[in-house]
Amino acid sequence: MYIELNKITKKYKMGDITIVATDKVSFGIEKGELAVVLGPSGAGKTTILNILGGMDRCDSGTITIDGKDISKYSNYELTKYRRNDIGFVFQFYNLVPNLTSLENIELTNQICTDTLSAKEVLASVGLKDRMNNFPAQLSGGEQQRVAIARALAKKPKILLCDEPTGALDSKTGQKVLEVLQKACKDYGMTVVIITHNSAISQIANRVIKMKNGTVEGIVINESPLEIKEIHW
Amino acid sequence: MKLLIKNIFKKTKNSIGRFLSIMFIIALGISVFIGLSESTAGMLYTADNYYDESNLMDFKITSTYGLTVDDVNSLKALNNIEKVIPSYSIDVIDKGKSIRIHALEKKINNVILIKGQMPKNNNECLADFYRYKLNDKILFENDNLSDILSISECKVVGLIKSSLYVRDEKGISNVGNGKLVSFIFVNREAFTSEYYTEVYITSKESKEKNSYYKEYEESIVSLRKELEKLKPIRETIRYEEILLEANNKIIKIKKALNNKINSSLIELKEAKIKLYSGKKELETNKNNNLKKFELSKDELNKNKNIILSNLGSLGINENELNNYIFDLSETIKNLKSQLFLLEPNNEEYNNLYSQIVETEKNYNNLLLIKSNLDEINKGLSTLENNYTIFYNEISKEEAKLQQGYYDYEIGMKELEKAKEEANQKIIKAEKELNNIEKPIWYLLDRTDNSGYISYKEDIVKVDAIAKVLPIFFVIVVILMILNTLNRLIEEERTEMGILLSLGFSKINIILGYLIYVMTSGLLGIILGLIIGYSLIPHIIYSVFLARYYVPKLITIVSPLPFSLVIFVTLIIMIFVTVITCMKELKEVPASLLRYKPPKIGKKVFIERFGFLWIKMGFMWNTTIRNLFRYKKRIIMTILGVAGCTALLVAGMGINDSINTISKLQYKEIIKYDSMYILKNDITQMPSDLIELFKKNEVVNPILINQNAYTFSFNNKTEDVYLVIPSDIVNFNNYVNLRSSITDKKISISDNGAIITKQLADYLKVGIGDSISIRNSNNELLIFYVSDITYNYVSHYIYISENYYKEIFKINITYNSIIANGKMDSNVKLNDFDILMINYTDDIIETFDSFVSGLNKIIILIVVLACFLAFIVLYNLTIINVSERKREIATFKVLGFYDKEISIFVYRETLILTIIGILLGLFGGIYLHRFIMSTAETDNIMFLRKISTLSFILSGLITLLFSFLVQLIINKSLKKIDMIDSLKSIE
Repeated sequence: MYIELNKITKKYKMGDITIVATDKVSFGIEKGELAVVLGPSGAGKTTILNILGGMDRCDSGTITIDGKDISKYSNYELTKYRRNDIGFVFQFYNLVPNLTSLENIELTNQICTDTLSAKEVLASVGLKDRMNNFPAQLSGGEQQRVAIARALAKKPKILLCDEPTGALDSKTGQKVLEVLQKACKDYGMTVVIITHNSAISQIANRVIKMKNGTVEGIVINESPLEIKEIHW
Repeated sequence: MKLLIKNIFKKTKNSIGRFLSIMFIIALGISVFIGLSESTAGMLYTADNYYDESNLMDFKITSTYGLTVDDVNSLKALNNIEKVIPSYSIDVIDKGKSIRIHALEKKINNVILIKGQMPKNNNECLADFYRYKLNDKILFENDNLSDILSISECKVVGLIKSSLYVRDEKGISNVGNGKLVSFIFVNREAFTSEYYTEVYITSKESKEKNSYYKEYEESIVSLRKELEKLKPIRETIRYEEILLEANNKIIKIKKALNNKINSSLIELKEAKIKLYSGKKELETNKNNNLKKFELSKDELNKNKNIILSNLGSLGINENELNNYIFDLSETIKNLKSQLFLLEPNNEEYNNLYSQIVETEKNYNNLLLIKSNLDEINKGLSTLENNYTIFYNEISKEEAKLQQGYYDYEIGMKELEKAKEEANQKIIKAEKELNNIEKPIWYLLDRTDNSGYISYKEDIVKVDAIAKVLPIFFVIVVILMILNTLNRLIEEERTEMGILLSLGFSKINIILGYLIYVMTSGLLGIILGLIIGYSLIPHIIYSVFLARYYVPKLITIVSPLPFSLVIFVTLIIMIFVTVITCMKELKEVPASLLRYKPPKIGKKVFIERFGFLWIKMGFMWNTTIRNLFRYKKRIIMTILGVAGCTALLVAGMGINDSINTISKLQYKEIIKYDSMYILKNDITQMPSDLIELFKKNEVVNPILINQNAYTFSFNNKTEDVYLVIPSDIVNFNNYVNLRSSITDKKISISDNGAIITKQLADYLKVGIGDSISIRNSNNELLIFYVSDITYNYVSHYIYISENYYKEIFKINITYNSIIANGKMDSNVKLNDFDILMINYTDDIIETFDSFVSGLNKIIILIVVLACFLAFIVLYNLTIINVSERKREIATFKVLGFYDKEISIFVYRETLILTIIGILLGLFGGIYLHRFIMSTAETDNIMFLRKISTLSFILSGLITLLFSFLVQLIINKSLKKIDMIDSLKSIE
C-alpha cells in the first residue's frame, strides 16, 4: 500500500493521568485514493492526521509512506517530508494574515522546487478575482479554498485535510470538497480527509472508521457518490 | 479571591521567564536612575562629612606683611566668628619639588593620621600619605629659612591626609618651578617667625550646613561681610604701625651715626693737640741741645786756638806738627848718633849734648801739645758726631710729627666723607619709608582651595552625564514595561474570559493581575535600589579616587528621588495593568474566549512602486509588510537599539577622546624627552652641564624659562605656564606650534604671545586681543595674543626673550633645560645644580593612569548600554514571536525549516536593528559631544573625534547582541508546538 500505518500508539501525559489517543491503529491507503477518516470527537483521528503529516510522533508502531518509514525520521527529515510530500488543509484555514491570497500560495512556492503556478491554482479553485485580497477580506469558504490552493500548489504526494468543511455551511462545504476531489482526480494526489461528518464519507474511495483511539472498520467504497449528491 | 491568588502564584511559577523579565527591566531602569542620580549626592555628602570632621576652615586670611597678635584679637572680636586660629606655613623645596610646611593645629584643619604617630619634637613631622613614607628625611633645600623656621630638615613620623589637599593638583607655590606638589605638618614651635603667616577662621553655623550647597554659602555670608569690613581697617592700622616702626628705625640710625661722627671728631682733635705739644717739645729740645753743642764747640775751639797760636808762635801750623815732631825725633836720633861718635866731655860733645837736651825738651813739648791738640780734635769730632745723631733723631721726630699732621688731615677728610655717606643713607631710608606699600589682606575661603572647588566641578560634570543617561534609560524602560505588560494581559485574555464567565468580578480579576505585576515590579524596584545605591556610586567614586584624596564613600538616600522612583514605577505599572485589563474585559466573555485575531495585513506604500516591490523579492515583501503591521514595535525597537548604539558610541568615543590625548600631546606637540629644572636662574649654559650632557648623550639642550602663573575665568582659577625659550629655532623642533586658526606651523615672535587653544577658549580671546595672568604675588601681567596653538594638556603661553623684556622690564634668566635623550640615573644632580628631571615618558605614564580611571565610567556606560540593548531586543523579539505564534506554527506545518523560520523572524529584527544602529551612530556623535563638553576638565582639552573603529565596534556589538537574542529566540521558536498553536478552539 502507498500509506501504511502499523500498530500506531500515541499517549499524552496530562499531569498524573495518561490519555491513550490512539491504540495500535493499523490501516493502509492506496495511491490516488480519496480516503476519509471518520469518527466522533475524541476518537483519535486528528492524532492520526498529525502523525501522518509529520507534525507529531507516535510512541510505538510504524508508518510507511511510499515504502519509507517516517516514524524513524529526525525532526529535520520530518520537516523535509512536510515540505515536499504533504499538503495540509485545516478547519480554520491558517492563512498568513498579512499576505494576500496569491502571496499565501507563493509562500509555499518559495520553499518547493516543482510547483504549480500560484495564479493558475488560484484560478482552478475559482478565486482568480480575489487573488490580491487579504484573508480578512475573504469569506470562510474562500479562505478555505485559498488554503487548499496553497496545499495543492506545491504538488504534494498526500493532501491531509482536518475537518475542511467544519466551519462552513453545506453549500460552501460542497465547493471545497469539489476542489479536493478534483485534486485527487486531476493531479492523482492521495487525499485524506478527517471528519466527524458521515455524509462526507460517501464521496470517499476508502472510509476508515475510528472510535476511542482504535480502528473500528475499513470500508472500500467501490462507487463513491458525486459531491452534488450528498447533503448535511 | 484566594483562588485567584493561588492561580497567580502558579502562573508566576509557570512563566518565570516573563516574571523575571519584568523584574529585570525595572531593576535596570531603577538602578541606573538611582545609581547615577544619587552618586553625586553621596559624593558631596562624603566630602562635607570629611570637611566637618577635620574642622576645615571657612576662611583663611593672609597678608603681604604677615599678621600680628592685634590682628588676631580684632578678628576674635567679630560677631559671627567661631574660631580664630593664627598659624604658619612656608613653601620649601624638597628634592627639587615645592612642598608646603604647615604648623600643626589642634582645633582646625585637622589631619587624619593614617600611619605612624604624631611628632614629639620639632624635628619630626607628619607628611602627605601619597608622597612620603615613614622615616623619610625631608631636607629643605632653600636658604634663608632661619627667619621663619628653626629647623632645616625633618623626619617623617606619621603619614596623613588633609582636607586642605583633596586633589592631586595642589595649587601654586612661590618657590621652585611654581607647582606645589605636596605638604607636611610640623609642630607649631618649629616656626620662629615674628608674625603669623595666616589666620584660619570658622564661622558659627557653617558646620551643620552642607559644604557644596547654597546653604553653606549663605551661612558664611554675614561673617564674610564682617571680615570685608575689618580688612581695610586692619590694613590701615598695620600700615601705620609699619611706618612708625620704620621711622623709629631711621631716627635710631641717625643718632647712632651722629654719635660715631662726633666721637671720631673728638679723637682727631685730641690727636692734633698732641701733635702740637710734641712739636713744641721737640723744638725746645732741639734748641737747647744745639746751644749746648755750640758752647762745647766754642770752648774746644778756643782751647785749640790757644794751642794753635802757641804753635804758631813756634812757627808751626797744625798740619806741620806731626812732620815737625818726626823731624825732631830724627834730629834727636842724628844728634844722638853724632854724640856717640864724640868723646864725652868735650865741648862739642857738651854742646851737642845740650843741643840734644834742648831738642828733646822741644820734642816733648811738642808731643804734649800734640796730645792736647789731638784730645781737642777728638772732643770736637765726638761733638760733631753727637750733633749728627741728635740731628737725625730730631729729623725723625719731625717727620713723625709731619705724618701725624698728614694722618689728621686724612682723618678729617674721611670723616667728611662718612658724614656725607651717612646723610645719603638716611635720605635713602627716608625715601624707602615713603615707598612702603600698604599691607594687603587676602581673604580666602574654601573655594580658593583648588581641590575643594574642582571636586565640586568634577561632580557637576558627572551630574551632567548622570542626568542624560537615566532619562534616556527611564524612557526606554517605561516603554518596555508598557509593551511587556500590554502583551502579558493580552495573552491572558482567554483566562480572563474563563474567570469572567465563571462569575468573578472584574475588580477581582484586575486585582489578581495587579498582584502578579506588582510582585515582580516591587522585586525589581528592590533589586534596582540595591544595585543603584551600592554598585554604581562606588564605581563612579572609584574614578574620583584616582584624582581626589577623600575618604570612603558614604551613600545617602535622598528622599525625593527615592520616593519618586518607587512612586512613578508603581503608578505606571498599576495604570498600564488596569487600563489594559479594562480594555480586554470590556469584551463579552465569549469573545474573550476566542483567540484574538492577529492584526490584519495591509498593503504598504512601497507596494505602489510595483517594479521595486517585485524586485525586492517575495520574502522581503513579506518582511516589510510585517514591519509596518506593528508600528509600535518598530518605533520601540528602533529607539531602543538606537539608544544603545548611541550609548556605546558615546562610551567608546569618550575612550577615543581621552586616550588619544596623551599621544597627541606628548608625541605630536611636546617632542623633547626630558626637562631639567635648575636650582638657580642662569643666563648661559654652564660648561659642566654641557660636558654632562655630552657624556650622557643628551642632545640639543635648550635653555628655557618656564614658570607657573594663574588665570581666572568664570570665577575659577587655573594654572598656566609661561615659556620663554632661549633658542626659538631649536625650540620649534621641541614644541610643535601649529595655529588652530590657519592650521599652519607658527613660530614665537617678538610682537606678542602664542597661547594654547583651551586657554583662548576659556578667556574667549582671539588674535589681537590681550590676556592677563597673575604671578604668585597676585601681580597682573598682560600679554598681547599673536597666535593660538593646538594643545591638549595644561595651558601654555609662549613668548620671545624680547617680548619678555618688554613685559617684565628685566632681562631674561633661564630656569630649565629641555633636551632629547635620558640621563644616567646615577648622576648626582645636586652637583650640577639640577633640582630634578622630568621625563616625558613618566608624564605619559601618569596621564595614562588617570585615563584608566575614566575608562571605568566608560565601561560602566558600555555595560549598562549592553544590558539595555539585550533586554530591549529580547523583549521585543519575544513579544514579536508570541504575537505571531500561530503564523509561525503555520510556517512550520508548511515545511519551513527552523533555520528558514529563524531568518524570516530575524530579518525583521535585523532591519529594525540596522536602522536603529544607523540612527544610534548619529545620535552617539551628539551624545558624545555633549558628554565631552561637560566632562572636560579645566586643563585637558578633549578631542571631539570618534574613531571609525569605535563606530564599527558600537554597531557590531549591538548587532552581536541582536544575534545573541536571536539565538535565544531560536530556542523558543523551536519550542513552538505546531499542534498546540494551531489547535482550533471548538
